[in-house]
Amino acid sequence: MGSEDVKVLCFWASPFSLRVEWALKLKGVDYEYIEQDVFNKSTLLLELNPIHKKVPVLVHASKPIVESFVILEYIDETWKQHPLLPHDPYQRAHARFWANFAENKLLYASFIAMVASGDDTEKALNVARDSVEKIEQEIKGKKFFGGDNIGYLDIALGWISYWIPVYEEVGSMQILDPLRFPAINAWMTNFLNHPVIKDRLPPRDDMVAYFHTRKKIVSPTYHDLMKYL
Amino acid sequence: MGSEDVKLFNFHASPFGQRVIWALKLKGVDYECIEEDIFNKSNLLLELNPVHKKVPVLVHRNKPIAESLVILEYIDETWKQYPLMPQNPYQRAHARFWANFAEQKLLVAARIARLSSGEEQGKAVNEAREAMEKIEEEIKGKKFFGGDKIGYLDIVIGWISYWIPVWEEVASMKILDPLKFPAINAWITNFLSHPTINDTLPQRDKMVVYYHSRRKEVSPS
Repeated sequence: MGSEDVKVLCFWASPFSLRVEWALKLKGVDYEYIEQDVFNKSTLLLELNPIHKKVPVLVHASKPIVESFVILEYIDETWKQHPLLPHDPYQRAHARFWANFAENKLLYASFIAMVASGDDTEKALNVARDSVEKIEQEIKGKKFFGGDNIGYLDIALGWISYWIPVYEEVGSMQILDPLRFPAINAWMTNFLNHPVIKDRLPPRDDMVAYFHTRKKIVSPTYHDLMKYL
Repeated sequence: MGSEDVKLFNFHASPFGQRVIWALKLKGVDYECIEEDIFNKSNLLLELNPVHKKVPVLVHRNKPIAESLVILEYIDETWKQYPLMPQNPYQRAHARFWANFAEQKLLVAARIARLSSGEEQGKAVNEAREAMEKIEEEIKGKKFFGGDKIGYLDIVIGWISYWIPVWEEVASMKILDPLKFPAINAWITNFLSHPTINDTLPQRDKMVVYYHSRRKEVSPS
């Protein structure tokens, strides 16, 4: 299958589009990377994802698939090498449950903590840290969430290892205390050192600069986000 | 596999638990239903779902699974008769996409609408109708979202057919205008006529009482 069969519409600082790239790379699937300016959306993006108008979009055999978790499941069902989800239905349910948990509880909370102020920052930090504590219990004693190899849940949670430290720097705060969360910190090191992952991280300086700008822009209206906590 | 193998912890008025009931019944899987008082949660429920402390929880071979959409996929992978998800990966992605869409855009807005009034309710009703418009396009020309048979997406969106009319009554609002959404209304008729679906619906008057009390709690006027 030639690379022209698979395209991914991405944004360099998006943890969602990077998930899709990680999955394709782990499976050795060639793809064409198409950078999108999410602040000036292309006609192509609006055509391929008319409902949400967001990245990532995977285009395979000319058909678009959107929503990063939906894309991950599609990739796993379409290319059978290096399976991402476990084989057993209960383990699969377990992985999906924790992916949703981190998406709903940690993702928003950590971003909100970065852009909010005063008591609201504390509130967001508490939600974030509580979530991390639960995830810590899940990774204890394991190299990866997937066991010996990177799996679906590692990919779904992988953003934690690279985005949260950036949020911590930009927001002058701490979420991933290594003394409190040794297992997650060990997992982060393992994850970021994996050759496929290491190879494909956006430059940290650019990320810090980008999120400083986002913080400036979003801070005045952060109250709109508090409902997601 | 005996019925003692499968237990469902549920609350009678929960649209999320209803999904699980429909899936199990369509597949002919016996189960024991354990009604939870969600205002006085049992220790057992808190043990089985410590993270969210919510229903539904499916317990199979003593292992708990929580989150209704996760449970549906588990059910489909465990009991192979009457497949709920399509076979083809692209169709599966399509079904999952629309399930998430209805969950994030329609369910959230409809819930706000049933609990609020005035301008806030008006805004939520509009958002719910916008989401309905997109779902209307998806069901046009089809008997069920799954095609000729009820499938995953019918089960995920099925709450619309029975919960929204109750919420409309309780909160004096209109979301499912039959003139505006003829295809959805036709689907609702087909869906509710299906014997397995119809057979397991919670009692409407109990639901109306329950949702009235939820609404009163939030806006006592």
